[in-house]
Amino acid sequence: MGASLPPKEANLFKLIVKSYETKQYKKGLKAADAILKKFPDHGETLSMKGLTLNCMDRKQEAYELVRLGLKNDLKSHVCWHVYGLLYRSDREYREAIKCYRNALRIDPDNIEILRDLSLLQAQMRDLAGFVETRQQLLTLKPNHRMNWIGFAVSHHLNSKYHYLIVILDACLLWHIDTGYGDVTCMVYCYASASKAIDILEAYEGTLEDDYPPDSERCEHGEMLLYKISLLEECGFLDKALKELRRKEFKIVDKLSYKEEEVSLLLKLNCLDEGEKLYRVLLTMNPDNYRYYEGLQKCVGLYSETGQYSSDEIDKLDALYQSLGQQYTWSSAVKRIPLDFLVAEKFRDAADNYIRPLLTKGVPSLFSDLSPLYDHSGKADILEKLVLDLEESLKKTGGYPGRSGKEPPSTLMWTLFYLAQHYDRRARYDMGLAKIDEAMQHTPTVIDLYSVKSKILKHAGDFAAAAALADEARCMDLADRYVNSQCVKRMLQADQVPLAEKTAVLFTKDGDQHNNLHDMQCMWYELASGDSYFRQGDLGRALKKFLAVEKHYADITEDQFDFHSYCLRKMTLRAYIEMLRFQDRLHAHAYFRKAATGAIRCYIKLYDSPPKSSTEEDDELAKLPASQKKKMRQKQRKAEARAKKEAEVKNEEANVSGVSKYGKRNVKTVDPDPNGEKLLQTEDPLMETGKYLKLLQKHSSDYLETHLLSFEVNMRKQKILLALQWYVQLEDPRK
Amino acid sequence: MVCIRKATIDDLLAMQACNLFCLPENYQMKYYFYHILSWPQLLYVAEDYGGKIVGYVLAKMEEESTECHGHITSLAVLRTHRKLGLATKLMAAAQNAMEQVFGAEYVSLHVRKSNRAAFNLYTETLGYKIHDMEAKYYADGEDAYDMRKQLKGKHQHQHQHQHQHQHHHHHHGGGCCSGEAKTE
Repeated sequence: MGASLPPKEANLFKLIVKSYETKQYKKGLKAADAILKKFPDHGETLSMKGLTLNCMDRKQEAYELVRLGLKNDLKSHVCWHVYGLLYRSDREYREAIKCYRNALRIDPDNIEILRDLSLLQAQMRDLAGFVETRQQLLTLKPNHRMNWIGFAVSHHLNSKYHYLIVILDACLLWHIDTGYGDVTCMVYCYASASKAIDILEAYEGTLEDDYPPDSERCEHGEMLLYKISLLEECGFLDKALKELRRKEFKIVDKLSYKEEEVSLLLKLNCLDEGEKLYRVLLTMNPDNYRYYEGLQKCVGLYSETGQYSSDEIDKLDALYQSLGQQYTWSSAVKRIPLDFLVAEKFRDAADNYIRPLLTKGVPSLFSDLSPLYDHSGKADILEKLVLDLEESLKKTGGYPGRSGKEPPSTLMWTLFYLAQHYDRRARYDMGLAKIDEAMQHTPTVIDLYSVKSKILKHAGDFAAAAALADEARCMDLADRYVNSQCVKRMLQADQVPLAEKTAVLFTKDGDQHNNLHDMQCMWYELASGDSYFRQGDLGRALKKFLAVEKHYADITEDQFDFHSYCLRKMTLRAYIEMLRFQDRLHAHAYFRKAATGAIRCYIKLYDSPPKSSTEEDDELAKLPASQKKKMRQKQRKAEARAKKEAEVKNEEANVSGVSKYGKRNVKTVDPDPNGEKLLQTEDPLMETGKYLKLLQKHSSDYLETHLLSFEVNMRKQKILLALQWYVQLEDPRK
Repeated sequence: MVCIRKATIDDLLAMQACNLFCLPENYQMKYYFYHILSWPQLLYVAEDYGGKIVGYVLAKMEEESTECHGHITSLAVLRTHRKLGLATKLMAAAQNAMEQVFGAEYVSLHVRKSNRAAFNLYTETLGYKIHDMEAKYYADGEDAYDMRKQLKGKHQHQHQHQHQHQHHHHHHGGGCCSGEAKTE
């Protein structure tokens, strides 16, 4: 680096690099300028100056300088590396990879560039390339543990399981200072993985009483769990279980240990042992439904559909009765039987379940029971049951069959339940009558207003629903939940400005008007997008839907830093899960809503293009050619001026933003706050392509995807494609 | 009624939505990633019968300081799901993991001075004590109480095999304070 420079300038060049790494950009800039004074064409200096400017948000200059630097010194791996870093900072990963590859052609063993390349390959899921780069890094530096782990993970992602277990075994021996070189060499030399396993295990056998240093116990335990999860994933269940138990004392995370053990036992059909372990887990956390499910599987009383024979129901009933005596403080143990019990037994269990919760005034009682409304007959039983309670409370002040009196609030919570019950059954007048009665009984309970608002919404009176939600909000101004609820109702009633004003009460951030977008508040952006769409304001609607799409792009980007972080932190199980999560990220409901919303906007835009621009064209058409040209020039100048102004404003905002909040909170002025530019797209149907593709890939089971694919293809005159989506529409699951 | 379990990666978006709906302090998704990819044992969720996330706890280990301790980044339970003891259960789960996995000596958290309900939960139900007061801690200028709870038996999690290797004389602080010295 900087090799062609005399010593003084070469030192200055080192200073630029150091300043860049320590984020002292001004210092770096000064040093660069000092070199350029003497050597104005020095390629690597020009490149580094560009890279520094890029961090100071001077993008355009940055690209110019980096390109110039490269032009002046095409043979420099530094210039190529810098060019790659620049692209990488703009998320142009493919271009960045090309640059890195060029850099490596000049300097093939450059560890830094290889590492940067491997991160991009992980990000882009170029798995074959990732393995290759990781292997190169390992060959160059086999004495770094991280390189071994990186190599293993690359094989995992590329599904070369067998090989990577061998590598991991080598990693697990890492803390032993002597001998690792021999082992790693052996692993490396033996192409036959199974042979390598034998060697490793023989070697490991001589080290049975080894122990990692205290400072690495967590990491070591995590790595062991990672290896065991891999064995499980490969189907080596016996081996996994043996290994797990052998290493028990080394695994610090005892809960993960037990959960892994029980999962293996279940898969190996060791049901007695599994049952015992589930019972242990339940004493640790009697509110984890998955443990109950596991326990039921172990005792042979589990059905995916929730359908049981009467014999099975009796057995389940007995099981939960005994569990109930053991875990008296668990609510799960009381709730689960309501799922499998039927008829009279269900009625009695529900009665026992509901009474104490009404007395206590648990607001979520209805939402807890609402899944039962999908079971045949249970809604009727519940209705009769709660109406009986209401009648008795009104007549005697107590529950039926009991002499004791209930506190007055019990009746209110009973009415509260009934209101939601009738709402669920679409009998809104009955629901409203019950909730009004409850409000008369006790006018100060916020939950009542929230529920009334919800019933009104279901009944179709959005304005009244919003008004009620606002009443609820005013009863506790410090509670964001009631505020959000109210904002949601206002948006449903198409009161967008009012909704924003209300939301802002909680979202002011310093001198920033609101941070809803910065904080990725997607429900809000979707709801306001929907409202703008209903009101025919396509620009603003698109703006909101695309904002949500941007959040998903950011979330994809978020994984970048973790490619190296997790290797160091050794949280490999979580890391692999995160990568898999990212691969299905666009199947998430918020993305689906944003994408369908945007596509609908574009379709509408195609069907009825905005009037203003066509009118303008008409006017323009009347003018003679020379004047037309003048007009166009004028327009272009005005646009350029506006763009420049926005840029200056941005720059100012950035500078103040940096000094005050650091780089993360840089605010940019939106040059198109109302989405007018978005509407000027020449080909709205083409814009749908990107979103439609993602829907087709990740949400192919949704009716909406098929409808929109049909609509778009019809308009593109691709009748056959449209027909294909139409045919599938009849049964989207095909 | 509500399932209390360790959070998975798939819960993070719902946790963020829950946070945005009911708390004034919000975080970008990357911060949730950072938590689960650093201390996967310290995130718990409350999931209702329909599969909806109605509460969560987001916690971390403070690895810089000399005394190894945990910190509650964020705790939320939807208003509709109060009176079920969810906050208590979530906190207990996170605190246990801090102690058991990382050997934390204490847990710290911040609470708004005006948030009486939360303050009462922390002091009366969960045994936290005021350690300090931080003026203007929140973006809107409100003060925060810096609260702490001592965790019992900090050496409980030590392995039984310590006698076998007397050559390790490090002070035992659990795995979390090991520093970040290992780089490629």
